[in-house]
This record gives sequence, C-alpha cells and structure tokens, in this order.
Amino acid sequence: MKKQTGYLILLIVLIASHLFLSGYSLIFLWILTGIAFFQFFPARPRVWGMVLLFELLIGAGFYLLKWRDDHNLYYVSNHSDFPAFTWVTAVVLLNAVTAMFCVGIPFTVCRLIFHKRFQN
Amino acid sequence: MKRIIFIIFLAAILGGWLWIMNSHFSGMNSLIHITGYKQGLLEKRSLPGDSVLQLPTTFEPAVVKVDTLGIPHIFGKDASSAAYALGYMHARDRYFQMELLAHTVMGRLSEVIGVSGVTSDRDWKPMHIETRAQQLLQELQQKDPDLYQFLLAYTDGVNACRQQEDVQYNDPMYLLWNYKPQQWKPYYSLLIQWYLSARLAYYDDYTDRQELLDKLPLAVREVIYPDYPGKQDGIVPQGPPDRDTFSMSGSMIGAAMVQDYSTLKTNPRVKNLGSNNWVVGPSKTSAGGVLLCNDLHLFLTAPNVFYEAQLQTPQLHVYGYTIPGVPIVVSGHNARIGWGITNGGWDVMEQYHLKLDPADSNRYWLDGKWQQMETIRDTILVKGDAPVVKTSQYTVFGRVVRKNKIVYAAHWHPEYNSSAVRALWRVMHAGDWEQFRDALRLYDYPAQNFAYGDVKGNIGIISAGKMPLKPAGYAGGLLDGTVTPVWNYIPFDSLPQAYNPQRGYLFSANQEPVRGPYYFSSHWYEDLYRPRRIHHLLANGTGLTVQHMRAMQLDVMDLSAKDINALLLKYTQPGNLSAQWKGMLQWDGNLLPTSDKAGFYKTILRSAGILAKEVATQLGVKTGPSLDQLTAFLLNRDSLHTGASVLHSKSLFNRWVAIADSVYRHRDMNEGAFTFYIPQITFLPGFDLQVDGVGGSENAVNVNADAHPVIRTVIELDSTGIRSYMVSAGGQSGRINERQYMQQLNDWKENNLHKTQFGADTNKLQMITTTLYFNKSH
Repeated sequence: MKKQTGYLILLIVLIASHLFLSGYSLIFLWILTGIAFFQFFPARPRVWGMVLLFELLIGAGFYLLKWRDDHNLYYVSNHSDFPAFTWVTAVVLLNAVTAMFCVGIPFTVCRLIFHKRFQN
Repeated sequence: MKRIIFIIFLAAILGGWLWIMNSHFSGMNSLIHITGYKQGLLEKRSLPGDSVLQLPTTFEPAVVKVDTLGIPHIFGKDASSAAYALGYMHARDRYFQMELLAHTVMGRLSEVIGVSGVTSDRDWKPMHIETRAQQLLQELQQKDPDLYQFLLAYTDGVNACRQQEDVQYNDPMYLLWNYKPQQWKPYYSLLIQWYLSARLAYYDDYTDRQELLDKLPLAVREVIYPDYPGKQDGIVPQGPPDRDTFSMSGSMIGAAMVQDYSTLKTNPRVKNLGSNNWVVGPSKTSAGGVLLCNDLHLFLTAPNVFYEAQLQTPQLHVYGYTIPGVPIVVSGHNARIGWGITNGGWDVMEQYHLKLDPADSNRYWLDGKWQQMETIRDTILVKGDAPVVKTSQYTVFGRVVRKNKIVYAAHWHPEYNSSAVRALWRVMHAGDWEQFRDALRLYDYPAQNFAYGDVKGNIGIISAGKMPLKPAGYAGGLLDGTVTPVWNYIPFDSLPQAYNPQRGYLFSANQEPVRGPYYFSSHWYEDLYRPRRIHHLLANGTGLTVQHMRAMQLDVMDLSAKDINALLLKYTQPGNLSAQWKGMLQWDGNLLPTSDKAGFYKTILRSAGILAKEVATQLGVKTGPSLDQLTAFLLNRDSLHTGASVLHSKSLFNRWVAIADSVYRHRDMNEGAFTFYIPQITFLPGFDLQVDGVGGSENAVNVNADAHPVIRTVIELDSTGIRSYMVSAGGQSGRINERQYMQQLNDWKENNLHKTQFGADTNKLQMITTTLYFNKSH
C-alpha cells in the first residue's frame, strides 16, 4: 500500500471516533487503532506527529462546521471567565494530546516489542 | 534492557495522562467526558429560540407562553393543570438547581456533588428534615387537600419534563457533576421552608453573646453594645398610635413571660442578609393608588434563587417570583392584592447550657436527676466515595453541641414544624387585608415582615412568624438546660402589625419591628442606617410614581458618613489628615461606584471591622461592636473605664484613621472598591461572574455588601387594576449555555425594571418565543 494510505485511514478513524464515540470507548478505540496501525503499517515513522496534526485539523473542522454557529459555545463563554477561543483551544488540545498518546504509545510499544521484525 | 525501560516509561506516560483525564476532582466529572466532541460541553445545544410544542398531560389542558426573557405565562383550565405546567417549566429551566436545593436540605448533597457536599450534609442530616417533610405532606392531605393536589400535579409536571425533555443532556451541570437526574417527589416542594429558615434564621453565636453577658458589666455593655443606638425607625409606627393600628396587647402567657428591658441584650452582628419593602398609600402617590416595593437581599448566585412566572386559572391569578421546586409566589401579587417580604431575623434558635455528669459526659442533669443522651448515627452516601457516618446526641432540648469547652443543646424551632408553604398558598388566594391576615396566621418560619397593598388603596404590614416566648429578663445568651422546657409562642394577634397608618406609608428593612413587650431578637436589630434612609425618603416624598420607586431602590446614600464626618470634626485636625480623609469632610455619603471618595469610604467601613476586633480584644471578648455602636460610643463618650483598662474615644478614632490609611495604601489596585463576583451555584471555578458599576454598601438602600438585592419589584395598585414591574439579578434559565442565564444582569444594575405582562389576554402577550400546549393524550 502507498505510504499515504495508512495516514488516510488513520484520519478517517479519528474523525469517525469523534462523531460516534465518547468517553472510555473513545480511548479504547484509539488504543486499538495504535496497535492495528502497527499491524498494517509497521514502518510508518511519524504516527505521533500525524495524530496530533489530524486532531488539530479535526478540532478546527468541528469548530468551523459545528461549534462556530452554535449559541451554546458563546453563551457558555459569556457566562465564564474564558472566551470562546479558550474553550475551543482547551478542548481540542486535550483531545489531541490524549489521542496522540493513546495511538502513538501502543504503536511505539509494539514496535519496541517486535523490533526483530524490523531487523529482517 | 534500555528498550524495556523505555517501554515502561511510555506506558507510564500513557497511564499518567489517562489517570489525569479520568480523575474526578472534587466529585466532578472527568475531563475525558467533559471535553468529548460527541457528548462533551461544547456539544450541548441551547434550546431553540422559537418553537411550538405539543405535550401530553393527564390533567385538563394548559397553555404556556414563554417570552423573550424566558418568563412563562401559564394559563390552565384549573389549578392542577396550571400546577402541572409550572412544574414542567421549573424543571425545564432549573431542574439541576431544584435537585441541588432539595438534596441540600435532606442532607444528601454528597449524592449529587460528591465529597464537596459532605460538610453541608453533616449539618443537615442530623435534623432529619426529609422525614419531617414526608410527615408534613401526609398532614397536608387532611388539612389542605387543595394544596396537596396542587403539589401532586406540580410533581407530575416536573417528572413529565424530566422524562420528555432530555434534562440531563440539556443542562451542562449534569455533565460537569457526572450526575443523572432523579425523580422529583411531592414532599421535596416543602423542603424549601427549611432551606430559607436556615439561610435567614439560623444563628449559632449564643455562646459569644453569653460571653458578653458574663464578662462585661452592665455599665460597659450599655455604652459599647447598646441595643438601640438612637436611630431606630420601627416597622410599626411609633409615637401616638395611628387610628387604625392594631393593638399590641399580649396574651396571659405573654404577660407572664415579657422581658425586662432594664437588662441589656447583647448584640453580636451578622448583617449580610436582609431586604427592603415599603408600601405607599394613596395620600402620597401621584396617581392616588398604592405603590408596593420589595427587594430581597440574599447571597447572589447564578442562577438566581428566584424564578418569575404568571399563573392563571379561573380561580387563581398570580404573578411574581417563585422558587424553583415550589409552586408558590413568594413576592408578587394577584388581581387584588400585592405583597413583599423582608427577613424578621428573630431568635428562633435557642441554646440550652447543659450540666454534664462528671463521671459520664453522655448524661445531663434534668429535673433533679441524670438523663442519658440519645445517640443516633446517620449515614451520608457520597458519590464516588465511601459513606460517612455522622453520630449525633440528643436531649429533650435538641441536638447536643460541644464547642469551646461549653456543652449546649440547640433547639432550632423551624426544625420541628414549618408551614410557610401553606400560609403562602393562602396568601396567593387572599383578596383583602382580613384574608391576608388570616393566611398569615399559619405562617411560622422564617419570620418575615409582609408588606401589603390592595387595589382599594389600603396598605398594611405584618411581622409574621412563630416566635417562642423567652423567660423574663432574657438577654440573648444561653438558656437554662437543667429543667424540662415548655415552649409557648407569641399569639398572632400580638405580633407587630399596622394597617392604613395616618402617615400614609409603611416600610421594613430588617429593623426592630416595634418597641413592645416581647423579645424578638438581640441579633438583628442594629441600626443599619438603611431603615432611617428609607424612612427619610418616604416621609419627604409626595406625588410618588413608579419612577420614584425605581430610583429609591437604587439609592446609595450611606447615612453613616454623617457620623464619620462628625467624628472627624470632633477628634482630628484637618491639617494632620491624609488627602483621602480630608475628602471625607466635604462628602455627602453618596456611594456612587465612580466616586473615589466612595471607594475610600468602603475602606473606612472595612477598617471599622478591624477596629471593632481590637476593641473586643481590649475588652477580653470575641465580639466587637458594630459600626453604629462604635460611632455612637465615639460620638457620645470621651472615655470609658472597663475595669482593667480605659477606652479613650479620641485615640480609638485616630487608630481608625490610621487603619483606614494603611488598608487604602495596600489595597488591590487591580480591583475596584465596588467589584464583586456572582458565583455559580455549585461554586464551579471559572464560572463566577465579575460585576462592576454597582454602588452602595451594607447601609444603603441598594445594598452592596456580601448580600445584594437578588430581585426587585414595584407593584402599582389602584381601582383600575394592577401593574407590576420586576427585575432579577440574573435570568430565568439555570443553564449556563442559555441566553436567559444572566440576561437581566445589566438591567438589574441600573434597575431597569421590565413591565410585566400581568393580565394580558393569551393572544395579546408580547414577545412570545415559545408556546407549549398541554393536552390530554388520547
């Protein structure tokens, strides 16, 4: 498979996970994604960075397509110390870092455990 | 090996991060859930602004029209259908707040917010209010079947909303606190009585009062802690009795129990809470009708504790402020009369000094023999944590408190009975003064001063409540805990009340109700300067209008400034004063938020508290004199011999000047003197709202201290009907993600009261955004 195929699948999985899952099921899926990604694309070098980038893009997408036109965000920010931008940034960053660790760490750990596979 | 260490390191990072994201700090939900894109905080939806809903009901049809302020105008075929609709609307806008309040009173707050609620539950649980509320509801079935049915229908409406609308999803508080809405029960609506009593009539400083009695001779107390520093304006007009003023004669029991006024009452102060109401008769109004005003001072929270609503059925038509969870108008009007309340602040807590058995501290001396205390263990369930057991001991007087080597039993009268909801239910139906009075015969706790006005031009006021009679000579300290108590109460007809006084107005601002034969409190009746200011404005007012009333509610004149000015002239040389103190010499006491002088005056008021503590230390007691006691002493006496030491007025005032200068130098330059914060009701960090631009002090009509006027009403009554104007320091919705959450805050700051749509025909209501039709399902 082409190099980009793995990352494209990763992007789709991340988008779908945010659309359909929440809480612990989300975490579970991300960890599985990391393991599966190693299974199918073991040689991809930039999984951590790509997950972080994709999450930031997805967060921006959610903001542009959903939250920006929703009164919910602005009423919440009007009634708190934090402007809407801070709320969005905090939410996106927390999700991005969580996804990066949940996908990236299982992927890297698998690589370390099965390192001989790469030596061949 | 390195690889294994690195794997462990990575696993630790992942585990640590997930632990942080999954932690429930202080009982709150985890960040994983709060920040989720699918069901997290940003994914919530505000309710649609314009909508028409068809909803099922088991009662007769009802229509609810909600205006742009979120105020529901409810039209029901009968009382039950209207109660059902009101229950639905309360739950729709405030269900989390309703649950929070009910669980607080039941001592079950920890079930909602986790460990953060344990302290509150430890206080509430031993009172077993939940059981008492259940009993009260059963009694209601016999005594007040109409109200009983009303509460049942209301409960059905609340639970219908909980089931039909996704309350849990709509309100971010359920997400943030990781709590699922529970079923509402009919007796929950009665719990509010105890909640209000606790906020307004639960005093626990009798040991401090007793200390003053024990340590200070009468001659010292009369000078430093006088009850009436000379500026009181009672609720019932003083001097020659007005023609129509009710008599103050007491019953035989009362005559035997009257207090001895030669004994001074001690006077420790808590002056954070209070309210204003006044009513002006036809002789002083421009239009020849009645103007009735009310502003309720409480700790301001978001959302506000009050909820505005109109309720109309063929038998009942009321408008005003309800409390979510209770289908009763607390301050408002019907089509014939209006009413407003202020806190009475009576001493309905009694603390009995116990004599313990030296051989067994679980036994106390009673009627000539040792009695065993009863021990009860209550279990407090804590969300996400282990249960907590609270062990309490009880005597015939009440719960045992062991504090600072003193053991006493606390008998809080509201704990044992409460009928405020029953009384207010009848007030809502009253059509004239006699019916109003009869309704208040039932009223007990918390004691309130009810101002009254009607469309026929009558005005009145009643200090209503169930006041326990005190032993002769009682001065405000601990009571004898060695004799079985007998509790009697001041008869209703002997309570302070007045009707159509010749002067044409009546008012209350938490001052002493009347100088009469009965003891009400040593706690509350200090001169807050507020009653005097209201009295002055009303006495000098003629041709009064709604606009005058509006301006009066915003009045920020602090009369204590005149006393400070007199002290400056008496004890200081202008040349020795700092620039800010010199400014006080020419200042009128108007506490406008834009005035630097007003800002410094707030510092002076704060410094008075510091000086009072120093005086208390010098006297060897815990409680310092209040502002008016302090100024009265400094103005009237040059010195006072207290036994061990001498208090010199001049040096005390100079110390006050120095403290104020020091505090002013070290003030926080980033924060204005009038800045305050409105906390979210669960004190969520980051959700407290900063408010600037509001003047006033604890002594001004527009109170701006720890408490604020949470709502204001002006009601105009005359032969053509009733017009009312209201504003809330917040909004109708309890959800932070709604426009109506703090929608009225700016209007409240400037007292831009909105004209209510009372009496408007269903089809002529203005600015309606949402309509709910309740029809029987087929």
